[in-house]
Amino acid sequence: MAQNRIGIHAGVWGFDWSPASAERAISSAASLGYDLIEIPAIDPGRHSAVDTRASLRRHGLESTVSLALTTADDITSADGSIVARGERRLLDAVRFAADIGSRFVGGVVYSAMGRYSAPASAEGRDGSLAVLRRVAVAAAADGITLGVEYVNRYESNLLNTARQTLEFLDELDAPNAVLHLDTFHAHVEEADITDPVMLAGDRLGYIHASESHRGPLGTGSLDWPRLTRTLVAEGYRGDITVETFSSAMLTDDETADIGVWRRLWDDPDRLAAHSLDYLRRQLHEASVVPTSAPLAGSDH
Amino acid sequence: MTTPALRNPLGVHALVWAGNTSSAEIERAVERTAAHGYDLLELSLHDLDNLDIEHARAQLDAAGIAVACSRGLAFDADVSSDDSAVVALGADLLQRSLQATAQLGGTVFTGALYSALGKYDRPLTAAGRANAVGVIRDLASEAAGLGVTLGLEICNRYETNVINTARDALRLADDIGADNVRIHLDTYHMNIEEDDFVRPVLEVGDRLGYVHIGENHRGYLGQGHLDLTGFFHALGTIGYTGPITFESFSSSVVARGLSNDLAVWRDLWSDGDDLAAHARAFMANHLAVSAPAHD
Repeated sequence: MAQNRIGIHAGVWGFDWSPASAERAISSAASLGYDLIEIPAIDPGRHSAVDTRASLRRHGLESTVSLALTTADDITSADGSIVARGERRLLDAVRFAADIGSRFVGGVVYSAMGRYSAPASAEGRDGSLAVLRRVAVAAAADGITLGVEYVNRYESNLLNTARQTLEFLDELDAPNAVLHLDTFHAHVEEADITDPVMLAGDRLGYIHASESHRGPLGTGSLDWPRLTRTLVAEGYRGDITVETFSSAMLTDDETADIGVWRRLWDDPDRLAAHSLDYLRRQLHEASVVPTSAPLAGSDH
Repeated sequence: MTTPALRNPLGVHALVWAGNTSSAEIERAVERTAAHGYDLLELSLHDLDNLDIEHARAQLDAAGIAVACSRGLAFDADVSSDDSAVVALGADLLQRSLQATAQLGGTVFTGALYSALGKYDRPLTAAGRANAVGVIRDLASEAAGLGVTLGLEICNRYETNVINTARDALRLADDIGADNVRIHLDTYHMNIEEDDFVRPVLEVGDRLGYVHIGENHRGYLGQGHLDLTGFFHALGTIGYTGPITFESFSSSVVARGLSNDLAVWRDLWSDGDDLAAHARAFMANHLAVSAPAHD
């Protein structure tokens, strides 16, 4: 059976990362049996890496870091000062990851996360690649992998499919850059949820397990048995991190950012417990090898 | 075995054919719709001021093609706004669009009539929702006099914050409280928001008034992963006999401005004729086998 680290996005407990909030999310994730927590580097300047690291160590939990650029720091922008801000944010996220002992920084690292009003330009794409090449080098120095997460059409105009992302990675040409699959986004854009797994092969480096509506796993239309069977068959050993959001735990601004207008669940600890159980069962069932031997005790 | 008559009129969205509603493009859309054996053409009224209604009606009548009209609102003319001036602009746009629908000979006016079509930067407010309810209630009253049914098209979270699910829409329709306000399901949006493709159909039941069939990526039907078999079976279960319209967008046909509004960044197809022929056959095949068996 494939041994993937199973993680959960800290946003399940909200996006506030005060020491008390961080401690709550980290202790909950650890006590429920998760291997890691994904911490959004929304504003690394506000994050206390020292507190976060201490909390992770206290609870024996590992971590990954994610971020999504915004229109104010979009590295596809034609405005050099905006691009520079984006590069700074990416490098800060890498620094934060190194400081808390993470080996992975992923997310919408190549454009703003948001609704664009025009297609991506060739210049914007080239600018993004140039920045990410430097960020990848900085990440490599700290032993950190960079995950490029493609998202649906409403979240970016640059990378919406695995194919586009692999082409982008080809041009990026950084050994520590991988495809970061988010099943919610893939469910909107891909012909088949297993296409990204098959296309990416060993360049698939990180997965967000997210339901079709981003609610509790198994309550939507995502074909989990099909996806997990493919992951097992392809020998995927990377991290699988649960990502789900509910307006119950978000401020109005965060709700608007993500576009989740509904209470898809109410209790983060119950949600997290269910998610881990569901994902482990899916991976276990996907790992069962059918046998042609007769069932024990069968007389016919 | 003879092919049974289909129980629903099959429609096609005009954006499969044409990027705008100029007279030449309307002529082409009507001609192609008829040539492919569709019963109905859905016209988006996003560019109402440049639509020659008399000309379009003459084309439709001559071809024997029914019409349904659709539109979404904009943030500066949004009936779910808290700002009464913005609401008034939206109400006026809806009122003119309803008149155009009737003048075109349409009996369905549908879409995101209750909201701007776009990504909101804040949740819906109670006052904004009440404004939308009030405007659509008045519009429904006027529509009833014109023999027009209004559709509430349920859209995904990036297109509206007012109704994302069938349950949201049923509550909104309850509050509007007009018999000629019906629910409009779109499989593309359902993929993002609903639990599956059956439960919402059963929940809406006989209040379903219009259907959009779109693949999960809005390209060729069957090329994506939607459970359209389950969806058509559910339509058969509730005995739905209303229009079923194919909707697909590709940046190769849709005008750039509208593509931007729809977040269409990929060419999912380039040959509208091939796409439409395939879609009609796909829908007809699913309909032919999806009625419940009678012993």
